Amino acid sequence: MIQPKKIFRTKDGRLGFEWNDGFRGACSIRELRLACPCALCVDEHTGEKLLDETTVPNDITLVKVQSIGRYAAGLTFSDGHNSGIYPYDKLRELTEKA
Amino acid sequence: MQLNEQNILSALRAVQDPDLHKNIVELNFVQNLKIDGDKVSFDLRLTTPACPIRDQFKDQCIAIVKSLGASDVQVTFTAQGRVGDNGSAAQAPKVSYINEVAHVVAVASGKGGVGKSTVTANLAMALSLSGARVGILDADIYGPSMGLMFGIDKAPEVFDDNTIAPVEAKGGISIVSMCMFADSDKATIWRGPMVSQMIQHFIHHVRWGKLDYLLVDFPPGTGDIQLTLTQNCPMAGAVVVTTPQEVALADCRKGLAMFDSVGVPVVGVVENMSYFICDQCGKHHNIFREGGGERIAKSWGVPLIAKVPLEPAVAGCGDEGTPAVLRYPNSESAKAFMQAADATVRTLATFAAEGDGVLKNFNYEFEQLPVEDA
Repeated sequence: MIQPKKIFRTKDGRLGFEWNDGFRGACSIRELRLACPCALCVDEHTGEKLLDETTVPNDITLVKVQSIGRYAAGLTFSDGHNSGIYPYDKLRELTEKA
Repeated sequence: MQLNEQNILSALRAVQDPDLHKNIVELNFVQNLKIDGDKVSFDLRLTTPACPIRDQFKDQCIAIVKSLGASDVQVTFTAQGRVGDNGSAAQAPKVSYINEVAHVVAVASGKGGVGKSTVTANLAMALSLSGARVGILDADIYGPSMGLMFGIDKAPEVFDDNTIAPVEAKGGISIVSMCMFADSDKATIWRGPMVSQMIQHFIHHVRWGKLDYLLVDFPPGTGDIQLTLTQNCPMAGAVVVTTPQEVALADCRKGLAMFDSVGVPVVGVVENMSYFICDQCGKHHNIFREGGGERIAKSWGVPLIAKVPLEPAVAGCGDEGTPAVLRYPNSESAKAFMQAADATVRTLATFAAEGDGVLKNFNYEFEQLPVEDA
């Protein structure tokens, strides 16, 4: 099970994770917002993306990051969006790409 | 007709929420209304992002506003998030007593009627007899049984700030159960969100004090309540209860799979009603097909931590309000429960050691995170 050992931010304002498999990486906040898996952003049944990317500001920032049980993190963004639950394996993938 | 805020809002009063029996304007769903010539945009602030009829709302709204003469109508969904909180799906309440508990342990099964509550009561008693401070959260809102198992007839104290003091039962075990709040002959007929709210209340607002182990008696299944439980408290591990028949094992697998996907490590499987001990001759009879617990443990790579037999004298303990471990400590059942308790304690210690340095329960402001290089 992938879990975070450390959470940090980078100089350029990205959210960084150190995972328990030793991997370290970071992801831009906008990238995280666009990847939000919540039912407002992605259709639950078809998986179709409902979020209009043009409505997400380029300078969006993160307000809060908190644990959801033992498998995910909840993110609160500066646009007020906070309904996404990001499983750790998905977050690790996101921090890997960047 | 002229397009203005008042016209639009009064026309939108025609859109009813079928569950809440009020219209969307009255419910304050319509927000951020902007009118630019014949272009209209607004947000629909739904009660939940997963609102099943949101598309219906949207279509109705667009049709109504267009009938007023608008050429272009933009409706954006926003959500109030989880009920009873300040808008966040992920938000933990400000006051929570769950952090005083060292290990929260789930006792669950995919299937009902396999003896989860009996196992919970006896595990708790065995842990308590070994010197630990133990609590039980009976999360079975619809069918609470901890009251009966421990013969509790007291109601818990509820403080002015709406927090609850658990009832101290036999063996010094602190218990909170829905049966303390509801009439035993009346059914609790609640929809999911109400139950979730009650569960969150039980998790965060019960003054457990310092506990070594809090056992959470899960209701059967893998749904709303189970998700709320696993999302709201960091479970140290799960004990999965089954009976030997294939039909129970099939559901037990689903229980194991659920804990797997929410990142809760499984302590082990307890096979209940393993065999029958005749109260006349003491012979062991395998009533169900033998070896079910072993098979599932092997195929999922989790240990079988106890096989609890059916013993008529012991089986009556639950109904009489004293867990078997306390009443017949030398019975085979009691020995099996103590063995399970022992395995649970040791396995949780190894989980804690393996997970060393992993962040378990956090809530950070982004601005306060340390700045580092990726």
